[in-house]
Amino acid sequence: MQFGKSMRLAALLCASLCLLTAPLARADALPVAGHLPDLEFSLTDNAGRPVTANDYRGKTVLLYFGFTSCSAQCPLTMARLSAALRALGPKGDAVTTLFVSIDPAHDTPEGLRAWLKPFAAAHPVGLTGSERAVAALARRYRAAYRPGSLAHGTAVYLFDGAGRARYLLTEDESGAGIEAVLKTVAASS
Amino acid sequence: MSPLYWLTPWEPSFVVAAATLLAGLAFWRGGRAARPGFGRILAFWSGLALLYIVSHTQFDYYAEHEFFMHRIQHAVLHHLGPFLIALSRPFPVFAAVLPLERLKKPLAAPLRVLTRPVAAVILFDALIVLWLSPPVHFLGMIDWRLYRLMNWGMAVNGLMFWGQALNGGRWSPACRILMMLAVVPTQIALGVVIMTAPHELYPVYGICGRAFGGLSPLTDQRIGGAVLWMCAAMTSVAGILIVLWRDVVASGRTAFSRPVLGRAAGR
Repeated sequence: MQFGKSMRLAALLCASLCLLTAPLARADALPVAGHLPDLEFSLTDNAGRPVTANDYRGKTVLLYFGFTSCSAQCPLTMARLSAALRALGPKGDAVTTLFVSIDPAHDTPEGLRAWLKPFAAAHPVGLTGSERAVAALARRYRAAYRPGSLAHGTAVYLFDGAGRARYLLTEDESGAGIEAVLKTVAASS
Repeated sequence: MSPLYWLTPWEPSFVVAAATLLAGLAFWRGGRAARPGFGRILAFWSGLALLYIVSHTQFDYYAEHEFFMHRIQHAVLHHLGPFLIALSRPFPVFAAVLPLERLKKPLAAPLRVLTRPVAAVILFDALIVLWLSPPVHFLGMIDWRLYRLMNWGMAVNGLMFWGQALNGGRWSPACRILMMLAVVPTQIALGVVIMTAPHELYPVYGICGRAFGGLSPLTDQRIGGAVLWMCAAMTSVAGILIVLWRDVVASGRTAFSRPVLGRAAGR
């Protein structure tokens, strides 16, 4: 009796081990609803105004951490978001992209505004603030941030109009994929 | 940056701080009555300090953002920290100041089941496999509640397992040696799978951002697999040698004799 039970448990253990060898399905948009907290921050926007998450309620928000002297990943991501929102047409107006600087010592509101100009289709807002304020936002979403380091993640965090976290968009996400996810979120919120 | 900064918690947790403080205070006060030797005192405080450092300092940031650092964190939470604390046999020390027997009563039934050797071995390995299965690992790393559940689960299970393996009152030394041996193969197999995987098993670290920019994802993964493999083998070997020496050779008894009840209170 005891033995049979142990064998069944051992079989279960082996089965879970096999799961490991299968690569994680690279679903383009990873659903995170219920796992990440609602959008909340207190920073300065690229017009130099203090803003909080409440200022973006009612909008679908794409949140991304980057810095303006980033030469590859940040501009590529912003270009992808711009293209996807352009393809959405007028519906894209309900979306705001928040670009949070992980280099607040160098990225001024004016610098952010200038850097974001080519990505106007993504309706971008550059956000910066004290190291402490940026760290609080990064910690909230488990995003890498260390003062003085420019390492950052590839994720774009997607929030619905009520500020609820819905998806993580990875760098493998195509423009069409982003468009589809945005439509889903817009339809359900 | 001041050295004190590294000791500030990355994600402050009242429960971790309170539990550490309570355990430390109880051992210190209980030590006056129970008079543990220097070796036991050293083992207890180093175990407690290690547990605290990996879970409530800036170390935690690196554990969230680099797979191999996460594996080191778990090596301490599940292996080294609980191992050292179990080695200090803190139960009689705590019992001198806390009503442990009364506190243990409601837990007696589940504990009796979970500490059966086969159940303890399965539970120990199942926790590792569960949190390392990629979909679960992803959620554990992004959801702070699951993250805490994972880390607490590791520490509590580690204390249960090593406490029983090193001091387990009800079981013979041979049985406890077998327990420590039995948890090794799964961990080595898992370590090898992770070390030799040709693709990234845990993309969450790249998605949320890596702590060390210069380390490639696969190198990080391989070091993490090696940590899992080595710490499994090393802790078990150390435990087996300790039980062999202390409970068989030095005690002059056979490996199959059940320990005399109450023995754990001595020395």
